[in-house]
Amino acid sequence: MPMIDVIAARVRPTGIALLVSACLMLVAGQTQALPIEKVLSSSNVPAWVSPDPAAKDVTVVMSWRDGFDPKTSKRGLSNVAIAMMGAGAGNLDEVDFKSAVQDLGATMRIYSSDGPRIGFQITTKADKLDETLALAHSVLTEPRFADVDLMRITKTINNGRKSYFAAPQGKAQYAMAQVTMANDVLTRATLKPNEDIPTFTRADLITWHKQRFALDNLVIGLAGNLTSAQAGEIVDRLVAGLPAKSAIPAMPMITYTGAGEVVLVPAESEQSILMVAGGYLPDAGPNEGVEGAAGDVLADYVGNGSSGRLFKKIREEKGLSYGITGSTGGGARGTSYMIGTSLPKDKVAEALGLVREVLTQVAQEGITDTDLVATKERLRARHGRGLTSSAAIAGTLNMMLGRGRPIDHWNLYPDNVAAVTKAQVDQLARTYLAPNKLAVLIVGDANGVSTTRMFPVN
Amino acid sequence: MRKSISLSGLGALASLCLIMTACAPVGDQPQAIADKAPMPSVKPGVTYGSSSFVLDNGMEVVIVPIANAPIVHMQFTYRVGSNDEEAGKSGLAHYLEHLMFRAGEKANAGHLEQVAQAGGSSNAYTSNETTSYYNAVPPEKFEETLKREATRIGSLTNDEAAAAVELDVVKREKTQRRDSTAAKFFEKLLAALWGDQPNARPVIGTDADLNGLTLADARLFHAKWYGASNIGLVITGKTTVPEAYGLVMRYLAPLPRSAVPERVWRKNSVTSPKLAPLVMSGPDVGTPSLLRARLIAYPDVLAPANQAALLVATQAIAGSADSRLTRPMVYGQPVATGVGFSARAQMNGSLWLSLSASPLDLDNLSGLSQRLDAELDNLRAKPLTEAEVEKVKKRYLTALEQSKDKPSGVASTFSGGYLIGQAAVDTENWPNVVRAVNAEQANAALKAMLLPGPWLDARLLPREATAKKPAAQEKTKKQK
Repeated sequence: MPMIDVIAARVRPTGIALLVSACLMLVAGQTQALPIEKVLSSSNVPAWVSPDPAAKDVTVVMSWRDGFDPKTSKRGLSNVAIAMMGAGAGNLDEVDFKSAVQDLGATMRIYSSDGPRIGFQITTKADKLDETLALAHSVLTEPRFADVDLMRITKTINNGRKSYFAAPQGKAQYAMAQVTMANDVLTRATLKPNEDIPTFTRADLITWHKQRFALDNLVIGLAGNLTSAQAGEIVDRLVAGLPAKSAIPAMPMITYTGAGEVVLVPAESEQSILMVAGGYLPDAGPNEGVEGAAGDVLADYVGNGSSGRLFKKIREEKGLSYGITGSTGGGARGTSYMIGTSLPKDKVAEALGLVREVLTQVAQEGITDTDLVATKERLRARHGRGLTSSAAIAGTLNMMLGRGRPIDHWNLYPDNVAAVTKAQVDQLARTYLAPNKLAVLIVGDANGVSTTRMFPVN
Repeated sequence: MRKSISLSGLGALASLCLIMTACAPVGDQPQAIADKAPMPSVKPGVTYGSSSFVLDNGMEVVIVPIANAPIVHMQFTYRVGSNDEEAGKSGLAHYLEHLMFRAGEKANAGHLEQVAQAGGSSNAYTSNETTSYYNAVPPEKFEETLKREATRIGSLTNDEAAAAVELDVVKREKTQRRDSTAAKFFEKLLAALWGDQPNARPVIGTDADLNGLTLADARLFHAKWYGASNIGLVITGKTTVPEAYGLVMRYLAPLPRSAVPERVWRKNSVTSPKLAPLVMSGPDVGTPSLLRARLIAYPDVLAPANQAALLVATQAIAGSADSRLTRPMVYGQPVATGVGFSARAQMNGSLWLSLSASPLDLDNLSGLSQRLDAELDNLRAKPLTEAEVEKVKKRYLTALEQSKDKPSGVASTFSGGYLIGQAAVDTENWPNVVRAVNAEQANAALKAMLLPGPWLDARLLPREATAKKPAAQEKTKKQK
C-alpha cells in the first residue's frame, strides 16, 4: 500500500522536508549524536566530515552555488552543461570514463539541486580511493565538452523535456512554479522544448565551467571510512587547480505570487491533479533553530504521511484519493507549504473543499496540545533514520553547509523540536495556511470548481 | 503495489505472510518461551552472515544483523499474489493487502500510525506472485512492532464500512496508476503476451471485478493464504541473532501451523506466434519508444546456475555504457537515448524477455528498429568473450558486496529466494554461483534468448505521430 510514492514526485523536495527525513534518531530522550567535524585543508574550503570506521566506503559530496543571468539568453545552459560534465574527462570519452568508474566499484553523479546548486557525489571503496579521486579530479578540471557529445546530449535533453511537458505531472510542476514564483528569474527561464538548448556551443560550456567551479563557491561533505585528517587530504586533492574566485550572479530571494488564485491547466486525462501552495518565507527564518523545527511540526501535523490530518481526511475517511502529501518546499531562496494529490475529476470539488476546511481550521485554531506532543515525539523518533549510508550522511552535511547552518544544527535538532511551542506553530499556520494565502492549481478538469484563470501548458 | 517480479540475481522480492485465524493473541504468550527455546546451532552464512531456521509452524525465518544500521527491518513475504485469484476476483490479493492496514479486531488498528509515531515506516506491495509487508523501525521499537505484527497476521477487519472506503481507495489507486497512455500500453502488452494466463490480468484488478469485491471475499482469501506456514520472514538491521531469535520464538512461534494451498497457476507459457503488433499513442506521450517482448521456454529457469548465466548475458548485452547494445547505439554512432534488455524468470517456468529503445531523432523510429536488428545480428555473430564475462561478473559482485549493509536490500534478496523455494544458504552461496559462470554458459544463455522466433513488436507514440502509421502500413502492403 504505497501511498506516497507517486504523489511525492510532484512535490518539490526541500530543505525542511529533507532535513526532517534525515536525522538522528533518538527515542524517549535518548540522543544518538552524529559525529561531525570541521575539515582542515590547505585550500580552506568549508568542509565537514562524519567518520565511521565500520563503513565499507567513503563518500564525498561537493556542491557549488549556481546562478542565472537573464541578460545572457542562455536558458537551460546549466542543464546541458551538467549533463556534459558526465560525458567523459581528460583522455577518456563517456563510455571509457563510466567503465573506469564502474571497474573501481565506485559511483559518480553530477546533478542539479535546489538553491540552485550543482552537486557532485563520489562514492568508492576505501581501498580504491586514490584511483577514484584521480578520475573525479579530471571531471572538475578537464571536462571534455566534445562537440559530438554536445549534439547527442542536447537532443537527449530536448527529448526529455518533450516527455516532461506532455505528462500531466510535468504540466502541474511547471504551472505551479509559474503561478507561485512568477517573478523569479529562474522560473521565467524555465525552458520548453526546442528553445535555446540547440544553440549552445563548446565555448558556452567552457565559460559556464570557469564561472562556477571555483573555491569561493564550494562546500564539501564527507562521510564513511576515513579520518578527519584524510578528509583534509581528499579535499585538497579534489580542488587542486580550481580557480579562487567564481563569477556568477547572486540569486534573489523568491517572492511569493498567486495568493488567492485558482488556476486551471487543461489536460486530457482520466483524473485531475490538485495542488495547493502556501506563501514563501525566507529560508533564513523559519528553517533554522526552533522556528525551523516549528515549521516541521506544522508540516507533519497537517499532512506529511499517514499521520497527517489531510491523509486521514481525504484518504482514510473519504476514500477520495490514493494518497495526499504535504511538505515544506522551495529551498534556500524561500520555502512554502505544498500539498499534492490526484483524484477522479468528479471528486475535485469535494477534495478541495475538505483541504480548505482542514487548512482553515488549523490556521484559525492552531494545533492542539495533544497533537503538538505527538507530532514532536514523532519527529524526534524519525530523526536520523534515513542515514543508512555514507552517501546519505555526506549529502546531509553538504546540504547543511550549503544553507549556512551551524555545525551543531543536526545534533541540536531533537532539542529544537522539543522546544517548539504551540504559539510558534500557530503563528506559522496563520502565515502559511490562511485561505487568502493559498494558491490552488488544478490540472485536468476543474469540474465545478470556480477558477480565476486558465494556464495552458503545451 | 508492484506489478511484476524480477527474479534475476536472486536478489528479488520478498513476501511474507502469516497466518491468522483463531490464533490466540500471541502478545499474551509468556515471555519464558524465548528463554526455554535453545538457540539453533547455525553457522552464519558465507556472504551475508545470515542465520536461518524454520519454526514448528512452518514459518521460515532469516536473521541478518547489520551492526551500523540505524533501524531494524522486518519483511514478511507471503507466497500468494494476484495469480492465485479465482476468475472474476481479480484485484483481491491487492485489496486484502490494503485491508491489512485497516482497523480490525486486533493489532492492525492504527498500525501505520503506530509505526510512524515510533519513527519508523511500514508499507506493502502485491505482485503476480507474492504479497510482502515490511516495517522499518528504530531498534527500541523492534519488539513492540514484531509483537503487533504477530497479532496483525491473523487479524482482519470486519468493519464493512471501512472495507468499502478502502475499496474506493483501491479504485483511486487503479485510476492513478492507469492514468497514462504508457500504463495502458503496458497493460495491453501484458494481456497480449500472456494470453489466458493469470499474468495477463492487471494485479490491481479489472474495473468489473473490483466493483464486485466484498469484505467476505477478502476474509476467505485471508483465511486460505495468510497462514504461518506460508510466510518467509527476514529480519535485518540493528539487532543480534540471539535478540531476534528470542523475539521470534516469543511472538511468532506460537502461531498455529497452517495449510499451504497449492498454487495451481504454475505452467509453462510461451509467446503465441500470431502476436499482432501493438501500437498506442496519446497526448501525454512526449517521445516515441519501441519495445519487443516475448516469453520463451527455458529449462529449469529458476535454478541458480541458470539464473546466473542469464544475469551475466543480460548485463553484457545492455547493462552498462560499454555493453554490446549500449555502446554502439547510444554512444558510438548514436541512434538511441537509451537501450534496455531484461530477462525475468517466471515462476511458471518461462522466461520473459524485453528489449526497449528510445530514438535520438524522434522521427526515425523505423531507423532505430533496423539498427537494433543489425546490432542483434552482430551480437549473435560475435559471442561474448571470456574477458567480457569476467568484467561483468566482477562489476556485479562488487556492487553486491557494497549492498550488504543496506537493510531493505538484504531483506529483498532473501525474500526473493524464499518466494522461489530457495533456502537461505542458497542466497548466501549466490555470489559463488555467479563467480562460476563462464563464457560458454553465458553464450548459451544469450543464444537461447536471441533464438529466432516471434516477438511482440510494440510502439508507444506521441499523438501527432499516429497519423503516419497507416500510411506506412499501406506502403508495406503495396510492396508485398
